[in-house]
Amino acid sequence: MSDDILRLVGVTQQYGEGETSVSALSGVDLAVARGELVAIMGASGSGKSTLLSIAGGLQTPTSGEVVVEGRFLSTASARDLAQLRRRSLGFVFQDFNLIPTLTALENVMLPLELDGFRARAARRAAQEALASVGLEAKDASYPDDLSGGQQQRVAIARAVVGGRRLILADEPTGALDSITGEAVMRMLRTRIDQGAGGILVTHEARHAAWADRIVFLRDGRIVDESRRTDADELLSGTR
Amino acid sequence: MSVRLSLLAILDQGPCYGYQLRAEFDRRTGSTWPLNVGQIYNTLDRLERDGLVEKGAIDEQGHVYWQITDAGRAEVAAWLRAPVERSSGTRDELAIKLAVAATLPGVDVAEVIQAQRRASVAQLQSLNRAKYAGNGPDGPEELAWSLVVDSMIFAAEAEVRWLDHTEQRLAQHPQHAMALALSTEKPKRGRPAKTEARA
Amino acid sequence: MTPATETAETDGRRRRREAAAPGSTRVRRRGGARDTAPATSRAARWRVTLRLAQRQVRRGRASSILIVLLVALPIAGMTGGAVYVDSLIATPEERVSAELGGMQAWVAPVGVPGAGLWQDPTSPWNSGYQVDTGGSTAPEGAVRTDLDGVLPAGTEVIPVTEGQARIETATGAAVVPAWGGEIWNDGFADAFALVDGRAPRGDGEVIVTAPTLERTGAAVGGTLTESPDGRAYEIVGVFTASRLSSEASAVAFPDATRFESLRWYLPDLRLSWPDVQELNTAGMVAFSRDVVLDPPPARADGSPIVDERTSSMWQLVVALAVGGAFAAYMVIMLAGAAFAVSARRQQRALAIAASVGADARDLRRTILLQGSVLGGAGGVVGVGAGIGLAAAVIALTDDGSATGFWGFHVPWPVLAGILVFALAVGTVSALVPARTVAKSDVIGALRGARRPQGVRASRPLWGSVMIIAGVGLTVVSGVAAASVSASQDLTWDSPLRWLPIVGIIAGPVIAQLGVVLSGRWLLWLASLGLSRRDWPRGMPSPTGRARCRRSPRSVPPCSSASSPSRSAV
Repeated sequence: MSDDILRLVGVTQQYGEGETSVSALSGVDLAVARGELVAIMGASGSGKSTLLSIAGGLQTPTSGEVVVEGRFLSTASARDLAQLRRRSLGFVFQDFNLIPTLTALENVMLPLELDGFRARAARRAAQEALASVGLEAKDASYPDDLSGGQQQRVAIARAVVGGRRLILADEPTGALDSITGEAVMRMLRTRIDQGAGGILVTHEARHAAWADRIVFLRDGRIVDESRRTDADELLSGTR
Repeated sequence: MSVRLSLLAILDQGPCYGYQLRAEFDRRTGSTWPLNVGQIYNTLDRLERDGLVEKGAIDEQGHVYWQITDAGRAEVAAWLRAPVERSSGTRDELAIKLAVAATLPGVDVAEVIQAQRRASVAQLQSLNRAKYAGNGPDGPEELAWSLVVDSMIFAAEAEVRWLDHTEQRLAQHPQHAMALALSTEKPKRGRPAKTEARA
Repeated sequence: MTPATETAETDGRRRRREAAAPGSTRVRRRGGARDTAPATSRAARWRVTLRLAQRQVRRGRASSILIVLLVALPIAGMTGGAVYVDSLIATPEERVSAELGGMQAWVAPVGVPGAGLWQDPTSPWNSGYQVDTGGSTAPEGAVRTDLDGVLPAGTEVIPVTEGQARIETATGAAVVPAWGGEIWNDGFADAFALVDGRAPRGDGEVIVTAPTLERTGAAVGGTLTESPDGRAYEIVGVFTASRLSSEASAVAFPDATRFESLRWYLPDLRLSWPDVQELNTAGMVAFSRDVVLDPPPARADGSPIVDERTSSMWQLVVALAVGGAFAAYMVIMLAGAAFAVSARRQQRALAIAASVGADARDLRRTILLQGSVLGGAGGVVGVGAGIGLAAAVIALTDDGSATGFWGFHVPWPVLAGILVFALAVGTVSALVPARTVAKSDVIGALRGARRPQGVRASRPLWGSVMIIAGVGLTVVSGVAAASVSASQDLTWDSPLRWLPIVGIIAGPVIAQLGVVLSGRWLLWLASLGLSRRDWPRGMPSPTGRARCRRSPRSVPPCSSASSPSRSAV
């Protein structure tokens, strides 16, 4: 359990009150360990994106606990949550991940600089992160000059820069063609294998297949789960 | 059909003998469709009967080389040009199962769908892992294999997508069950008047 | 698993590279940066928000240019005014040059010797007697007309008298300034200069200014006729006088005793302040180069000398402050509206920053710094334009004399203050949008707001208070003003005469500020009321706009809505 980067316990999210209330999530329990990628699949309206927002502290659940690296989010102030987003977790969205007026390098440096890193240290860490996604040559390019796949890779670099341990990805391949999407998924998987934990929300089953565990949501509840079998465990071997 | 014409296409590159033909086919399909020599020779005999190949020279080791004829070349060209026709009518087990299940009162179709979905997703996970156990394909052999695996991956995903779609349609039409109808009409003979669903 | 899958998997295993790149599967701590907490600095946060502000400003080009212009206009006006006014004020060097040219001093008999005459050290026209006798009776005695014994023996003096001459011109007669004395002496430098011809040698010769030639229709060598007595003089030269405009006619006669107003110019003798005071006891006042350039700290009677230039500049600063306050109010309203719109357009970028860990403080700072950047840019543009504008106006209105526009004076300290003011105005304009952005649901904008957004604008406290206070003040002041004008028995300088006026001006201003502060709530109120009405078909319903604005993503530019409703003051 202490190996868990993220834990959701009894998370419920309700909108509205009384008769007109809508339950986006009901009593969701989820745990993500280091080096584990969990995919969340479900129809639209099943609560996938809400789950991700709650996991990342973007939204406060109506009830239930969210624990990120041992830290209870319910007791965190807005400033603590912002610090969490700088240090512990990183988001990758379907699009509009990068600030268009900053270069790729500056985008990746952003969480570090907001945290108070000096310019040189931030720059170095950002360049390493960009190199790990193969884009060190594009560090001075603006997002408008990058392809969709390159933008997503920069977003992944930003999500992990500075040793962040939890990646939350909401349809990261949604706007990409299948080859580029594959490359992005491969990159994500590499980062996970290096010790990060991740939640991937997607409706494309072949991308969800990269995950160690696939969780099915329906009407705000987890109804099923698909794991790697033990046989697979034995065979993979490189873990 | 594809096996027959694939062998013909290989012979289009140059004369081959039986085992060589099998090795070539294996290599070019990523060993996803194992054939034994007997099948090869049967196919070659039929091709010869249709005038698409002919026996050629025999080397020192006694291998009989088969070579393609002009008619054979034309056949290969036509095969490559024309799209693969999917078989008409659906004999897809899953579709039939779901259609029937949806009409049976008292059946939780969602559970049926979820069970299938889970299985497909598990299969996807395995396929995915198999494909990416190493790094990307290096040479043409690897590429051929990964093309075939890709087709399985996409097919599995297509199935999952169709399951999602079906689930949504059933949700939109909750009145999908029908009780057994006792009909006073005598069942008609012969094929149903509706045409079979074309793929 | 289906057979096909099984086969694929077997082959996959077969193909699996055991020696996958060794580094990629090891758990690697990134960069070591996290293990040893690096030195963090607050400067880094400011730097990144400043960078973001600068880039955002560049991106929203049209709106940025608009705000820069909004700020630059009043700044140009203020700067132009400052330069213009400052150029009307003489520096001591310029005064000395206009009065003395190259001379060291002039001395003039003004009062009765030994009667306690005093003078202002830098302004000898300001003089008087130390009042022992009550009232304004002049002491008895005669004013001297000579310099015997007053100055050291052998001191060279050039007597010059000033008056007026009546001359015949081409169109009739005219009265022109005239001098008597050797004004063509080299020592006068630019104060008086002979530019053509020669100096007069006898009483029948005169020199004139160039415009005089045109006016009388004569030329050098021609005749100047006095009117009405018809006495004729020969024009032997042309001179210029720095205190005359370039269009003025004037005549100079060689005879220093011709006119009444006498001055002795001293080419060599320097007078210190004690020397001048000694001259005062002899009934003389003096304008001394040394004293004007380096004035004593206090006058003879102990009152401190305030540099005329400094006191004029302070008046200018006060005027600028008042004008600036009004200008600032307008600019802040208008630029604030522009900022509100631009802040809304930036919401996506801000949401991305928030998702990466920028907190409300950082977001607010980003918008505020945009205000500072644009305010500063507007200030620079405005100051430059103002200087140019003033230069143009001065060039057009300069009459050529050295005593109109004493020079092209650019009061850099005042301009620096104006620049700081521009920066402040820019920052303040961005204040309300910055706070609104920080409070709004920034993350919701990023997620596309897939859940229903409710607007519940809290009733603003300060805004309501200010609206009520402003309206109340206006009403009370109006009533007071009416009753004051109707009443007869208020003293002339009673404050009640001007207080109501101030109230009538200040009231609407306060009310308007209140409207800006409570904008969202008012809009929500309005949308509630209006949504219940049936609007005639074809008319665009204001609720449509109100409904669009209900999403907290939009920051209604309330100030632009309220400005036109301002009462004409």
